[in-house]
Amino acid sequence: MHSLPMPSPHNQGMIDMRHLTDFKRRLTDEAGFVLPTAMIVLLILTVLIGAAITVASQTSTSTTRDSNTKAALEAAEAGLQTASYRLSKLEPEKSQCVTGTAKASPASGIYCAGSGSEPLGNGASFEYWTSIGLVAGEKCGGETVSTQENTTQRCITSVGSVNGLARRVQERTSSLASPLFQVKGILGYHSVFVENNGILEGEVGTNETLTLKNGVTVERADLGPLGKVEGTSTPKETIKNTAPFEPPPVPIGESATSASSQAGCKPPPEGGEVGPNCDFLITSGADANSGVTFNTATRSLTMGQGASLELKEGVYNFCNFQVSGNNTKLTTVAGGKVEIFIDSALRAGSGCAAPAGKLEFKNGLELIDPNKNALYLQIYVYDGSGGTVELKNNVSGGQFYGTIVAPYSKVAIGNNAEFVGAIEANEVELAPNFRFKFEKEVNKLKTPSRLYERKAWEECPPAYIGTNFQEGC
Amino acid sequence: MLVEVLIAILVLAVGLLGLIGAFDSARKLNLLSERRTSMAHRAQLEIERLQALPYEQLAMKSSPSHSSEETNPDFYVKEGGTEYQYGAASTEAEKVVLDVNQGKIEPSPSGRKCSEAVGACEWEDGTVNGSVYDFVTWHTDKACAKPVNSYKRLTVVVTAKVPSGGRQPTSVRVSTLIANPKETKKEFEEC
Repeated sequence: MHSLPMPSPHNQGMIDMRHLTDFKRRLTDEAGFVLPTAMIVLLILTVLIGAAITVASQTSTSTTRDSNTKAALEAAEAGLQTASYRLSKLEPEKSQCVTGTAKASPASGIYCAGSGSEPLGNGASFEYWTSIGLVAGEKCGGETVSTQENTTQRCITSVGSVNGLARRVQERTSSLASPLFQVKGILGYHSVFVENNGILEGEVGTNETLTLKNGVTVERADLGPLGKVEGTSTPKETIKNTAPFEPPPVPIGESATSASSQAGCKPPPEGGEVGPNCDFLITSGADANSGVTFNTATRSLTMGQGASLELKEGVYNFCNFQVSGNNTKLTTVAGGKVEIFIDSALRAGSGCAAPAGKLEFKNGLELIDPNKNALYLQIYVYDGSGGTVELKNNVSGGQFYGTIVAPYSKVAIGNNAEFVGAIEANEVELAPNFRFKFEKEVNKLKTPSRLYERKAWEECPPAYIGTNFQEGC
Repeated sequence: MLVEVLIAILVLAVGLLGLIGAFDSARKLNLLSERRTSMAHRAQLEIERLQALPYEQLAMKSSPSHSSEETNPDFYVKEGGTEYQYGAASTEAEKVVLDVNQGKIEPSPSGRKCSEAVGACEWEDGTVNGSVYDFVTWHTDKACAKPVNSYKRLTVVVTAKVPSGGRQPTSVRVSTLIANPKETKKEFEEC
């Protein structure tokens, strides 16, 4: 048995030298190096390919997203337009709003339930929410709301969606307030008939026929698209409109309800719907012996022979108002505005029983207006159910300061007294020698329009939590 | 050694070919994205331009013509030019708003630069160009009991021209509704 020789210190040094030489040789030998290098390069190329494809793919996704978000914004805008249209069409009260296709009241807060998703085609849809009339201090469209008379302001929030992407926008919209008197003078929607020698200082408008008999002076005729002038006199100027005149809503509001006390009796506003009536002031102030009779049950006011009545400031609502006796005097209080509504048995909630809707001032009525301002006596006739509105045979040389709005009635005026103010009726018939002067002050009277106009707009973040569609706006 | 080098060259060649192919695909995809971005931008510009027009002028000046080419937006104009299909389903079609007197919307883009004309036109944005088609149709509101002309729908379709062999991007279509700010009481009552 041979035993392995033990390396001597000398031999050990020789082995180490051989390993070192071998290592150096392998380092300088290039065999087997090329392929790993190629594999590393290939790996780098693969990473680069992956990066290029990822970037391109992300760009493509982002482009699609960009297209969809642009389309979603237009879908949201379509929601605002649709909501505005339905607010105008359905005419909700201030305390109401619209849901999909109907008026409604909010279950809580100021917003009604949403419209539900409505398709717009090509994968786009919208949903909107409308508010009741906003009050000062509330926020909408990025702004704080301030009060505006004769208008209703509302907030609409709309969400447009396209292929899962959404945009949310909000607008504050306001009903337009337009002048109550569309013509600066006399307007008869159906016709205006002016007898001989009438002198009309102002405009006369109609959708159909304006008849001017001999010697009539009219500053300007304002005609609807189908309007025409007939008769033997010619207006100094004639203009033709592209759209017909449309009757304004009679702002009868809550006037059929009694205010019952002085505290509840408010001065009339300059346009817009009114509050409860002050008819009780007549009951308490009228003297039965004076010829004034006011039936509180039928809300009928009559003035007989020699009757005299002063109307205090406030809103009045009568089913009938007839002055038929001679030597009657109707006075409006100094410094106080009076607004008289002639209601109709045909109006739900009027409390009037037929026959109703009658307004007649006849036989020497002297209308005394210490204010000498047409704004201080406004008369509205709800519909034509009471027949012709007659203001005739007033005291010679006297002046009638006031306005008459009777869009569904025939109004016949004459003789003698000069009318200062403005008239709107379905048919207007003016007696010979009638004198009229338009009072510029009545331009202050406004009528709320059913149309809405955008006042503020903002885009809100698209996401909101749960049903809180207002969040983040 | 030689074998090893040859194999490495082969591997690298395959890798490089793949890289070139991938970069080319990425370039094409980027080009397509660029075109689609320009098209979407153009569509938004066009719809905003139309929204600024008075309501009565939002009408076609003349009837659009039907095209038999499926890629042409006029393909969705029904025969006779009185209806336009705004959505994917054939039932999603509405009457074209036509007003030869007040209408401002031209139906054909040919020879009309977008910078110079309202309505259908030819657009250019850097290296990308194409055509814009505008359609105005009558929309009936859901709240209306009868099929009446409640308000208008604006549909803008933007296409791009691609050199032969290039990938044609699908057209960009944007649509919105516009209500008449001066709608009359009678028109509301008819609805």
